[in-house]
Amino acid sequence: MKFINITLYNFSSFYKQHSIEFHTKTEYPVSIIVGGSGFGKTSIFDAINWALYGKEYENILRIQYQKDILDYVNETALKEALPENKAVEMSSTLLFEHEEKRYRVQQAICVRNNNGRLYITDRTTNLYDIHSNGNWTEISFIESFLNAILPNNVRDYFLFNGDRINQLSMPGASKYIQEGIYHVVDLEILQSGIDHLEFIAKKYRKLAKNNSTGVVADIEEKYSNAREELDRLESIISQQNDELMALENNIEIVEAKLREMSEVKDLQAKRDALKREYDIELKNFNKITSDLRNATSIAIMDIILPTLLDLRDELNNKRSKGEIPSKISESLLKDILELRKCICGTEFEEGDSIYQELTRRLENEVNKRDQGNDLLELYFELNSTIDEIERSKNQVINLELERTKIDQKIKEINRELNFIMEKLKDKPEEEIKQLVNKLEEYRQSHDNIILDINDNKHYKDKVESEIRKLQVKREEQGKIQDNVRQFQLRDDLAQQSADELARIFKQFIDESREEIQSLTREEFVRFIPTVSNLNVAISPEFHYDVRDQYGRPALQQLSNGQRQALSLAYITAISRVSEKNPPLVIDMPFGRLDEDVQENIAERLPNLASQVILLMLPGAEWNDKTREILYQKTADIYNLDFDPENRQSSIRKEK
Amino acid sequence: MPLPKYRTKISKLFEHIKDPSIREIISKTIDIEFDYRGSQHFPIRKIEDVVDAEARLIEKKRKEGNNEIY
Repeated sequence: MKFINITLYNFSSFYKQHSIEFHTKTEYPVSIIVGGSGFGKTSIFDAINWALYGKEYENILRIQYQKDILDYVNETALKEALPENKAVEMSSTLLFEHEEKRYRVQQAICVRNNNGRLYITDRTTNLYDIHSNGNWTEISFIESFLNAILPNNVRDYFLFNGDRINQLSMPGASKYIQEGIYHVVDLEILQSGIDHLEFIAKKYRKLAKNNSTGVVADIEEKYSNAREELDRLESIISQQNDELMALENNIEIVEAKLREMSEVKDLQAKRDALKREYDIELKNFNKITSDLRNATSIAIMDIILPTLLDLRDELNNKRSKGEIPSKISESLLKDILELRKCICGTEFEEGDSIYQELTRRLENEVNKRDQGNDLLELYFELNSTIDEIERSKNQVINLELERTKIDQKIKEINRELNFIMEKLKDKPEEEIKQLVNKLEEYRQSHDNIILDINDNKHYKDKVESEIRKLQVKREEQGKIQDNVRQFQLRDDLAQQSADELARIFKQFIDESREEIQSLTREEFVRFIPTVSNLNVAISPEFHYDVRDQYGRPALQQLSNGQRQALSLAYITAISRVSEKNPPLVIDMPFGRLDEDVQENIAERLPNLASQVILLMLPGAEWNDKTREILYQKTADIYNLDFDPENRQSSIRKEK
Repeated sequence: MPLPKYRTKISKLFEHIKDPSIREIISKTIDIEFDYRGSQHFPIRKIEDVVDAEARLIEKKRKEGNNEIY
């Protein structure tokens, strides 16, 4: 998708018609619009969004910016229409190309003034496919057509306000990060598929239940109840996970506030260090617990060790006698047959009775050879098992000791943490007290939720095992009633498909998160090479996890500019993974950036998308340095002028 | 237009589904989901038809199997 031009009519401070052409050639991907504060840059940004998303964008304006679309109707046009009570038309028309075709989308409203109150008298939205011969065809399903090219829910990642995007790297942003990944790689499509298949499975389950009788009805009832219970548990666990995420965000926000307060800065820093230590020790504790569990499962075989030792001795005895494997008697018989002379000295010939008897014995020995080898193998296996049991017994003792030590250390750290919390509470400042109380409250709820989640997961395992048993019974008994079997089959197919899709969803979300994490890291270092010592990760809970070379959390230490660069890196990663390749429209791309970061980002911007439209402030953003970097890659430069007397903006083309 | 890499990735994950009926249902469901994404009236009947078609196929195979036995 590439924009060709945007035409505004009575839109915001743009009185009557104004157009901006955008270059679509790949060698000049950048278009720049420069204007001071209040000159109409954001209005152009809003006009592009409104043209594409109409009412949906109006909702965003209302919720995020407390603005109504009526606030955009040009003041001069309204004044002119007032004496004759004429309607004023406002529109935004965007011409764009997509997959070698041209389209024109337009939003228009007619507005009247009724005693100082504006209201919409008419509204039109249309989308045309413009043919190369100049003819056009109207496209009826505007919303689904545009959603297929650039869905509204990913709009934020391609058309965004550069100054506001640093919220993506603020504490508590995990929800946005998760949403970004969900929408951009179409995880919502998979989720919707799961929901629809589950809905169909439920429908057939109900039909099977309502049409069954006798034993079949009993099983259907139990199966249906177990499935409902599973749904209920899954929904509770999901809600609890959301709560957990919200609490973690809240904890992060409160801790960030405490870190900024000079009165408690040191105490909070000490607390942070202890918490890091606590996390490391807890990780060690969990690892040792898991190792201990594995070692115990082997060491427990100690109770059968005497039997194993007896068996090994018996086999060893046989082995030392040469009974296993029986290769000795086999080779002895072969020698006798070859020499034609018995141990007792009796000579014999091929074919006589002694020869035949010895040949028969040799065959028996060869048959016994495999059995002997198996026994020999068993002997060696027994030896290694006995060694393993002995080793595990020692390991259990050592691990237990280590675990006790770590447990004591964790308790010690906890005591110190509690001590710091008490000290923080003792501070005379009311705000600090409130924050610490909140922190304690959140922590307590956090720990309780984790316990509840574990309980529910345990119960869920039980319900799932019950379902598996019922499924077997259901299939056996379903054969009695043919019509019920039909519903059961459809329920099974839909449910299995939903379960399989859920498994794929989980795998895919992890892979996507890891890919976006690695691209974010790559782009962040490109933007700010000095942060190459920082490790940027997106945790499985979708938190940014920025650590310094010593593994200490460093997100809070990032400057505003670095945060903006990190958010931009994340957005770039999202756009690269999505491969949707729409234009990147950034209102104030360098808002909070330091000069050197500005330069690095300016260098990278032309490579981020096939069309980049930048709306910049003169001076702070559009200056000699950024001009020098971007000029070669820029096709169009527009300057916005503003006449304060008439309160009207105009567009002047510079390049 | 070639599919984006992540869609190819999703399709590849579908290839690992052992049961051909489930594989068919999932891949057709996802196609329908893409076709009607963002639409206010989602045609769930279309997915139901996909499930039903696979069920009929299994039923037909079962019947043929039984006929062979008898």
